[in-house]
Amino acid sequence: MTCRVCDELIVAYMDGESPDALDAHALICPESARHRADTDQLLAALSLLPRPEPPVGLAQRIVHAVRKDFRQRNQARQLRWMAPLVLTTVAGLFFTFGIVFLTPDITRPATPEPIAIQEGVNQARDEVASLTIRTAQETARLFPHVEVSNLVPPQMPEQGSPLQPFREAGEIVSSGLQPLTDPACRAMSLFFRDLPVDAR
Amino acid sequence: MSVDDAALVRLCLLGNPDAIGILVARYHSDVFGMCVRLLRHQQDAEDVTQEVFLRVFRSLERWDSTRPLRPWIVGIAINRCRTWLGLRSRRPETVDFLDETLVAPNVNANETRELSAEIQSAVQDLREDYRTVFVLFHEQGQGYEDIARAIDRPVGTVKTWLHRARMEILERLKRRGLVEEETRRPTSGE
Repeated sequence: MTCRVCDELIVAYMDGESPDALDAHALICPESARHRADTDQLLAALSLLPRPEPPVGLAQRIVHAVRKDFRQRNQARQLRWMAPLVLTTVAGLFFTFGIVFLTPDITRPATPEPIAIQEGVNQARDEVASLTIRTAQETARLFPHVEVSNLVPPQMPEQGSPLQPFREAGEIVSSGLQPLTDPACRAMSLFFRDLPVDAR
Repeated sequence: MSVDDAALVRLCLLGNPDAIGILVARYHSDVFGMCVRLLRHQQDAEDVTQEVFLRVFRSLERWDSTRPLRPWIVGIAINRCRTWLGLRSRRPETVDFLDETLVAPNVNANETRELSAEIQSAVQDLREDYRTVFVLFHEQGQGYEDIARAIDRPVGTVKTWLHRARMEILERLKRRGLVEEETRRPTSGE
């Protein structure tokens, strides 16, 4: 279209406005008259344009899909909200159990030693004591001129005690060490013999 | 009693199943019509219509209630159709079932039936932008402002595209002899 007035009037006419202005302009503008006729034909043809109708059941399918999607999104939203809560609870439980069971509790009384260990320690202590006393007595026997007092008589465990095997083992060790201890004892006796009487 | 769109949307956001049904019933015909025209394929149009409503309900919270709902939904439909067309262009061409899907008005005369088929074909052959504007205006009765909002273009562009679409259709109908060329009158310059 070369006529701008016609252009605007045609558009207005097709938009549903009254054709009066267009008709008035068409009296002096042959181009507008021609376009008016074309437009009428086009509008008549457009009225025949069939409108696509949705198939039966489409709306129900859409509603079903939307509701399903709505439910799924709700579940996902709840899951998103609950997952951190559950994780936090589980982490809290682990933390609590860790504190209770893994951390040493200084307020708790020490667990008593098992009786067997306690008895073993006591017997070992007695053995050491008796060995010490025996050594002291032997030393005193070797050096009779040295005054030795306050020697506690040995308190040997009674025969047939559970320590008998240990005692025997100790004697074997002592006899094994005798080649070393005897020269030492002789050296000590020579040392004491040569000492001046005043120094003894 | 008809519920206005804003109230309907509020009910939908609360998960009211009836409201969802009403909203779908109110707009699914427009959306489907738009999809059929743009996609030119029955099954694709049904799939995309369903997809459009899923997207509509997912993003319903973002709808500005001060604006009309219909152009917003149509805008989503147009975007989905464009995306679908883009995907379809990478696939082998699907068979066009459009002729079977359209319900023509009661037409008896062969000439009228031929004109109806021809104008339908002419609309389908329009460029996508022109076709969108043409369908929104002539089939769905939307105004320029709403169309401009739906396709995110200025009103001037909408008017131009609509005018060109009309002219293309008219020219085609003339070429096929389905409208009278005799209505042409010689202009003063001719």
